[in-house]
Amino acid sequence: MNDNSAVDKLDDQTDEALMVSYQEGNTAAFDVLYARHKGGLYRYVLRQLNNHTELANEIFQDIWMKLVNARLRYQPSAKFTTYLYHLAHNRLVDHWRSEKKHQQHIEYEDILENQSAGPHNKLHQQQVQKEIKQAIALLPEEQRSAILLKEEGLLSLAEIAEITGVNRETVKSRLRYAVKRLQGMLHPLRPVQ
Amino acid sequence: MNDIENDKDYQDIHEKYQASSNELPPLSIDESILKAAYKAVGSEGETHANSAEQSEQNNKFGVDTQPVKRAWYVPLSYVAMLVISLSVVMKLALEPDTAPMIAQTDLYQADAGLMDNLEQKELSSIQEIKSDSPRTLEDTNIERQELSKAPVAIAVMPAPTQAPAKVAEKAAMKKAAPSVASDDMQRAEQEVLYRQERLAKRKQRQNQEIMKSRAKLESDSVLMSEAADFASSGISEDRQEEKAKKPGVVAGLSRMERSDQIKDQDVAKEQQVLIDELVSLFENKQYKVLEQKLKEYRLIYPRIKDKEVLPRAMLDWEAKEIGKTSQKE
Repeated sequence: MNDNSAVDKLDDQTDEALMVSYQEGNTAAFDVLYARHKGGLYRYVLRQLNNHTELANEIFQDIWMKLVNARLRYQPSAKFTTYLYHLAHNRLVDHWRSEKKHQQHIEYEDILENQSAGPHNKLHQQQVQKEIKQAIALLPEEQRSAILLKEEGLLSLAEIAEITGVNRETVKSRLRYAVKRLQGMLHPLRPVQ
Repeated sequence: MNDIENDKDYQDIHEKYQASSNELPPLSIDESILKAAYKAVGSEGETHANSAEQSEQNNKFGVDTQPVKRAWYVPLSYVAMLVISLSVVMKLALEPDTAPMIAQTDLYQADAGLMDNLEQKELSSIQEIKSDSPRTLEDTNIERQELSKAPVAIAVMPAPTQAPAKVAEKAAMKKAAPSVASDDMQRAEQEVLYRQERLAKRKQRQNQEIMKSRAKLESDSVLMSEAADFASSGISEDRQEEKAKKPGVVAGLSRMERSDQIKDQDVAKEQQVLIDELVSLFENKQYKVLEQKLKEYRLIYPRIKDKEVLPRAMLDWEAKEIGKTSQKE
């Protein structure tokens, strides 16, 4: 009973308060924090790595371990989501630099072929999900980062700008280009406005 | 921001993306992350065995998740504090903190005793002087010796109320710390010497005054007796002859001169009284008494010129009367 009430109290707390609580040694606070952000961060990493699961798992673990190790350096003045996705972005940049090649070799034609399979079968929903994942994977790195931070991290333009190291207007234009491109890939016959 | 969110294309993409976005990390990864997070927080008290397991995990994660090693300066500071406190305690234990206090109190007692002795001796010496029995130099020397011995004896002697063991301990402490006690002893001795000198000077001054008063009294008495002799034996004509015949009178005169020098003011007053008496005798024409008084006057004040002091008529009368008597004789 007491444990449940304690967990409920932690659920009501903000990310920043939970992180401070974890700094002070409260592991339950980390549980709540991890539960809140594990899905979004995992999908962000997974999409960035073109749905490469094993690599995504490894980098996902690295990001969380970096957070754990750098917990004492965390300042509550910074928004926790921004801090977490900053760590993730830097880790991915390091990975890309070390790999020197991205998984952008997926052929656009393959996606088009998959699309031509037709939306009328039972697997239409799954097909759409697959398409959009593949479409995101085909986006340029900057546009992909911007759209994934927006969708998975639920971050504002300013926060995305802070993480990616560009100004707000650049982020805005990247998002517009990404949306246009995704629309073009998902609906190739529809005229682009 | 609103522009993007209100865009139809963005809304479409957003809906599709959110519908497709449902992946979660595997449970094994969840467990490993949470385990590592717990260890990082509670790893300070963990054993070395856990560190091996953690190092394996670190290799797996590719990051260093080992707990922060305890800083080396924490135990060092504990040791330093211990050493400092021990050294302070040892120093306090070995330091003869009570010895100077005892020496000082003894010296104060000695000083107070000396003061009392000095005051008593001073009083007694004054009484002796008053009773006209001058102290000899030997007595003073003996006193000095006693006084110089007194502070040492009192400083070394322990307080009577102290236990014997404690007294021995204090004596040992005094031996261990002689510098403080010796300084105080020197001060006490200097004080005693200074007081002795002051006493001796005072006594000397009082002796001188007594001698002076005695000499004065003697000279006055001799003078008076000589004058009486002169008066009774009849007045001779020539002072020079009298001087040759009676050397005691000359000696009395010389003493008078000395006494005149000592107390000029009194002499002047006496002289004036005598002159007034002579003048009154001359005015009352008591010539016989005047003759005697004039001779007396000249014996007492031989150096004072008559013309400056006595009236001219009296001098003329004296010259006539003395001329007549000498012719008769």
